[in-house]
Amino acid sequence: MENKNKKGLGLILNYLKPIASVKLTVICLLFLVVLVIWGTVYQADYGLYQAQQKFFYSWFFLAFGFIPIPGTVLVILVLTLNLIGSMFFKIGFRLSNIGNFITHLGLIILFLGGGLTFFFSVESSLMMMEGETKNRSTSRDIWEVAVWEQMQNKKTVYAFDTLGLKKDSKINFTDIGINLSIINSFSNCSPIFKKTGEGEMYLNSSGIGSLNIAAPTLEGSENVAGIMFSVKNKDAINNKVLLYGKDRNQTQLSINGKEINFVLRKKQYILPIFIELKDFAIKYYPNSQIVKSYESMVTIKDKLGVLRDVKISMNKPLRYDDLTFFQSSYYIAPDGTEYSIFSVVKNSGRLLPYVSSLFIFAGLIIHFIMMLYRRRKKIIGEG
Amino acid sequence: MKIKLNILLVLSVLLLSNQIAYAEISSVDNFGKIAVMENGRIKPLDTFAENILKQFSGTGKYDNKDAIEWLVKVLLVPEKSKEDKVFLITNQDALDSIGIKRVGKARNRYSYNQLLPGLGKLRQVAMSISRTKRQDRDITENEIISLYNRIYVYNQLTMSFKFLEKSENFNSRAYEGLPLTIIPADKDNKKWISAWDSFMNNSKNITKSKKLMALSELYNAYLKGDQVKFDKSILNFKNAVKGKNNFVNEKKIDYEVLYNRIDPFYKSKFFFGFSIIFLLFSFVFLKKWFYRLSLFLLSSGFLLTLFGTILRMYIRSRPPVTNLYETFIFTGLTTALLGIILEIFKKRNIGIFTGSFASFVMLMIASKYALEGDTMGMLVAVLDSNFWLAFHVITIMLGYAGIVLSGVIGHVYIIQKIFMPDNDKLLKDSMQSIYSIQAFGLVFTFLGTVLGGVWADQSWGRFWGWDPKENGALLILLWSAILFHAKIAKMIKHTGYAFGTVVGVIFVALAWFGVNLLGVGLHSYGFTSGIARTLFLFISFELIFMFITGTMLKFGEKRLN
Repeated sequence: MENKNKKGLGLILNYLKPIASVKLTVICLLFLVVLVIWGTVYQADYGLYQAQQKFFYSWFFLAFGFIPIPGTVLVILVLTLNLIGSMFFKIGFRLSNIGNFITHLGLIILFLGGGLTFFFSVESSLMMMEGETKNRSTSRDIWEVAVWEQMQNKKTVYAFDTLGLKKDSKINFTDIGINLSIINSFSNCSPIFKKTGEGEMYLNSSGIGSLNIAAPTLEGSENVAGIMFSVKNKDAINNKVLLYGKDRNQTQLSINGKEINFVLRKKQYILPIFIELKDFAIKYYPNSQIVKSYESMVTIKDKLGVLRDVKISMNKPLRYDDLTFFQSSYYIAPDGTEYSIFSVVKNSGRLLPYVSSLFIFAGLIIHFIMMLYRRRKKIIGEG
Repeated sequence: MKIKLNILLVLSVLLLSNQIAYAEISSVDNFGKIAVMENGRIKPLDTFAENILKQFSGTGKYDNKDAIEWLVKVLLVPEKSKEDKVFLITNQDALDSIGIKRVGKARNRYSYNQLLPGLGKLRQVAMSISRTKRQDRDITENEIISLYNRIYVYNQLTMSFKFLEKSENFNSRAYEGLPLTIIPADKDNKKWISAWDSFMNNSKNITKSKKLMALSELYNAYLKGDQVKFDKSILNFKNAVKGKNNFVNEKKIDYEVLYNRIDPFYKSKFFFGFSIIFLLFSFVFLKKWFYRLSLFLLSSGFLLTLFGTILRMYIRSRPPVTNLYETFIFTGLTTALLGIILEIFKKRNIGIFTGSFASFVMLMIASKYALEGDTMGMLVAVLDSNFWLAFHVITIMLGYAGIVLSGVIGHVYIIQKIFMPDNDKLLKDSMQSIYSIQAFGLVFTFLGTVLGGVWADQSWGRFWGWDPKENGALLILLWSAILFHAKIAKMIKHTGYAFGTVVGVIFVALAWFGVNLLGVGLHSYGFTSGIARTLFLFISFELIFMFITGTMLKFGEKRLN
């Protein structure tokens, strides 16, 4: 029985062995070289965002429109499996090989950290006028449909992302008592306004009749989304609504005696703190146009209501829980009002690259020192 | 005899002073130590002069004299500087379009007076070109704009001390905001102004200001050729500027002038160059002596480069690498050190040859960048972090140096393999050198790249963003990892490995220059123009080298079989 088991395990291991092949490592790395070069050159024409989406944050992409090529995510996944395999079958845990072992373990942690960041980190942006207080940041490229019922004292907003929505996707709002069914959703589009006298196919408060799909812009943040959906209630009354990202008016619909509002906006995130921008300043070196620093003086009010003054400047972000606020940009309106723009990043895998780097560096050093030591011993032996 | 000579001297001085109304002063060194604020940095006039002259004429010296000697003429006796041939023109068509006849070589230097008949036309042509977009201009148009700007700056400089000429009638706004800002204007060191602006602030009355009085003494002493008074007035001016708020660190000013005088990187380039030449001599005769001389020169070049680097660090209170120029200097410094270490361990000429060669090339490239202006410029906000500059930039440059040097040894190995295929010991030694230097490069490139990620995480909020510069460093890392693993998997042998290190150098060149040419991403602050052609030539050369040597090795193998 025991023998048979071993045989079975041996058989499985035998099948798994090719995953540990060093040749596979070389092939994966070569693939990465190609992707990195291609993705970098691509940036000159299509910008960083497009290149990231196509080459670096993808499982597959189509070259020349029809040849499927593995994207960086897939190649790194194979490489990670290859690494784990090689830890078991090739490198093993031996004292003589400790440097090599630590380096490769560090690489696995690095890829895991990369995976965590890729799948779970959230980046958003916070634009504030001097004197303004906010506790919400906005996504740069993700859009959401916000729905709320018009009431006098209370306003509860429900929202859903438009990312990945397909035709006929259904969304239920049981509290309000309506169902939405998606007719079409565009990541970038332009509005076509209704001509006078034209029949109303879609409900839109700004008079937009339909949407024209457009090619994605170089920077994802410049896309303007659009969506069409039908709204049904329990009485099966059917209304078609059209929302456009740059539409300043909310579209209102009366259902069951309720006034329901719809708006398409950049996705919003509630922050655990309130931030007030006291002052934004750009400092220059004397007699020059070279910027010495961009600085924002803010006051934060945390969950406990404690107030704290903080300076956020380049290279000196503000950290709160797993959130980090970076000074990322600014805007000065024609009337002279100053706005400071922060980048808000939520990343629970933030520390993994630090840990992995320590492992890899320590491993490489140990490995090369041991190699030199062995070679020296060999030379002395030969001598 | 002596009396005769003295009479002759006095007579000639009198004659000259009648003709040109001023006598030569023997040293303007102290004048070069006056502080000037330019682009956010307090620097000696000596540096200011050198930078201006480099931009005007492509070299930091005029007539084998220091730039300050030329600048002092421009500032105090402008008429005498109008015959100085300092305006470098490299484009024949640019001269034609302003109606000036070529003198001598196509690439030549012209004086202000030579260009004078064409200046009206120059202004017209430059104005019309300035309406076109910068990227749409051709070489000739760029040269015309550059010449126009140089003439403009020259004219402004000549006006700097005009208020000291009693005969001058000041009525124009042209004197406002002149570039030579040598007087602090406030208590916070936020603004410095020109002597002329200070003159206006003092209601055109020189006696109201100690600084202006000192400048007036300086001017008169210069015209009279009175060295003692000249130096004393400079001291008076410096003391007046110092006032209550001393913004100028005199020690740093002195060291910067010393740095300019020694010109360490220019000289160490020669040390490295001659080190290679003497090493080649050692192959033919006086082997031992030339070998030692060659190693001595490499070591001296290294020490001089190190000295220059330390001086710069002291002057700027910054880590050694803060801009593109310094990346080449620091890499040259590292390759020289690695070459010396390699030579000590191997004693096979390879350390001297490859170390000197790589350092020489690095300093050559650096000298091209030095022509762009002040190499000690202030740092933009995102780079203003001594901590990360020290850690990330230095480690990545150490890594690049390792990869470059292993690539240079790779070239040597390939040539040795063709011409000395039977010298196993030599080939083995070279291969071991490649491995160890490549390993050094891999470790530091990795560390540098990761620390760059950490810096990016600290200042931009993301560890990795696939920005061209990051990708450049990643390519070098990936390629080194490929070489190591392909060797383990027996996909390549020694020769393949050597060829791989040559490809590694191409990747380094792409990461260094190529990504900046793309002009995208957060790192594109180091954007440089006009290097695409050189980069293309370099890559072509390497590809041709690999093709020819590869073919020779293949044929050699076949013949052996």
